[in-house]
Amino acid sequence: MNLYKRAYLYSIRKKGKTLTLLAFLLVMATLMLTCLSIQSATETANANIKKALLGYFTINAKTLENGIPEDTVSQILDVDGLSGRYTLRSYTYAAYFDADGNGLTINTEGAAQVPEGYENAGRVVANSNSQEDSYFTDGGFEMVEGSPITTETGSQVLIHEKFAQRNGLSVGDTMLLGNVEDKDKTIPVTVAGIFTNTEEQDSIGMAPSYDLYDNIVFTDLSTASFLLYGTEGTTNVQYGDFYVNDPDELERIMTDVQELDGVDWESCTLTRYDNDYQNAKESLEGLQNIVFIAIAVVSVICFLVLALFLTLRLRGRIHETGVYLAMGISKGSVLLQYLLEVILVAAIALVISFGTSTAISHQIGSSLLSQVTSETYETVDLTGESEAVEEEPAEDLGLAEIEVALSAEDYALVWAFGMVLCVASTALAAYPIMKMKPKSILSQMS
Amino acid sequence: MSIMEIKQVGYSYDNKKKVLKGVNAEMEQGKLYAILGPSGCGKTTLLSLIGGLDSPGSGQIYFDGQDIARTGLSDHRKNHVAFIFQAYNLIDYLTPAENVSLTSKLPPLPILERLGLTKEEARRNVLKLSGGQQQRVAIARALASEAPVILADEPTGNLDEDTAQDITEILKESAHKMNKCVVVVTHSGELAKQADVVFRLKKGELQVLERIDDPSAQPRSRRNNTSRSERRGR
Repeated sequence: MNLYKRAYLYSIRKKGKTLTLLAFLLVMATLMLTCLSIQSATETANANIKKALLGYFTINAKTLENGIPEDTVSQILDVDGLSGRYTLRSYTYAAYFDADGNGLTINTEGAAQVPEGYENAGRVVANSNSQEDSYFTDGGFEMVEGSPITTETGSQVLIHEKFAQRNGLSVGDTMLLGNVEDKDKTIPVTVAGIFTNTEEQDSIGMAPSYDLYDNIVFTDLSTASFLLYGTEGTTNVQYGDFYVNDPDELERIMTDVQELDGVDWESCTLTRYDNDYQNAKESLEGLQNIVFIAIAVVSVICFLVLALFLTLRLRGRIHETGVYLAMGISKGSVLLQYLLEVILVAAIALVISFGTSTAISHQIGSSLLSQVTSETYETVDLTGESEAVEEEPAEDLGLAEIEVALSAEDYALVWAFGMVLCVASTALAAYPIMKMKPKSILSQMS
Repeated sequence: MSIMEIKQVGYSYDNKKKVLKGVNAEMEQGKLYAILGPSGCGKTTLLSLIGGLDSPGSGQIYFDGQDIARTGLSDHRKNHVAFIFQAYNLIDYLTPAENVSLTSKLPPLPILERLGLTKEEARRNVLKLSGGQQQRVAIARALASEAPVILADEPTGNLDEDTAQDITEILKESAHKMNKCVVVVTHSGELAKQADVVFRLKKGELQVLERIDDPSAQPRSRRNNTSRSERRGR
């Protein structure tokens, strides 16, 4: 009778011992698979957060005489690691005139004051895309007519619907924006769209007239550049937000940007915006560390307990070992039989563990992950550092869809680890018996 | 011609107490040998050395003229000898038939039936058999191995008188009809009476008894004397 048959017969006839081992290995494999699947899920969550909470840096060139020129923007975009997504912004004030040069009427009701020279002036906001401006993304502004302003459109404005009513303006009309300090320096613009605010301005009574919502005008970057720097044909901007592919590389990218020629970087302020990502990452890393420690602890405990379990089991089989050796069956063959018995049961346990760990990891993992991701959502909601840049809403972080599922790699890893564990534990347990002489084994059994 | 030859074999436990002192013996196929002696005199140790379960401290043991230490103890156990133990030592998760199949590729049922077990008993759990039946299975396992030497350590020690007599008969038949060299360590005078050659192990020395029908008779030196069966063989 060969060792395979002996191993098989032992496994099916010593039902109690086989079932005990099966239960133990099943718990072990389930624990291991659960930990690994949660770890994989946290890695996925981390990757999703990287994608969702794109880190970016802002260049504030407000103190520069001529802002950031187009060439510099092009050079910055060539820096390795940038995603290609960016937003340029400029802010200024302008006096509003109709096409004939007559001052337009602004709203002064609720204004803290109407500064001298600003009687028909308002705030001018220029952005690469007006729809992405924080007034629209967070401030409750929305278009009621016309189309937003982009880099493709030139010499256009969006005006508030009350401003339009007050001055009889509509989409397609022309008005003039003039430098507040030099009213002869004007630029004609076409009304491309009309917007309104869905939320009341909370600074009513405190803001000067030019900052009231009704008096704000959105325009393109080249118009703002003309108003700010008097440029024609080129566009200089005050602010630039540049998004990176990997928030972890933000520091390096900012250093590379500061090494670009042609800009007085000493006078510019570079600010990094990755707090959302760092906070979210911290939460997930905490979970990852816990899972990693759990995997290590489970591995060590499994090895020790399995070795102890098999030691006790083999100690009860000294009699059998002695008989086999007396028959001339080699120690290697006997050891291999014992190993096969364990591997046979381990294989069954690993197959069953696919189902058990899928169920358990889904429950435990989802609960753990949702706890961590809810912390992440709170972090994102509470971080209000980027006032003029679009923030990712928490539900768009890509965490809600993360499923704690068992991957083929994890399953293969647990199979490999389980088999190594079985071999090591059996070898360790059998070593004291195998190093004995057959006579010593037989004398022990008698 | 002797199949087993023991030459000047010495053995001591932990290099202190010498249990065997220059033991010499020759054993032939077709004979039943009995080794008598008081408890703790080294009978089982001698049997273990003959069976290759342990190595002697000094001297050599030959099988068919070959030193078993050189040919390998594991090989000797596998191909030349078969053990029968007092406690039967059957594998408890195998049936009698499967226990016999451990050492042989031959069908186990004929030999089990020849030793008195029914087909049903041959397929039962070994632990559900009586002591006598279990010892028959152990003997069947030894015989099925086709080893020319059978070493039995107190094979009737746990059995009642009638069953012990049956087992003795089987061992005798194994020697005489199956041409095995059967070596039995025993306290049983009845078994010794049936043996062709009786050795007494005393104070580490192996002696052949003068009269095999009287195990209590005075021995004489193995070196200088021959047994009755040996004389009969001349």
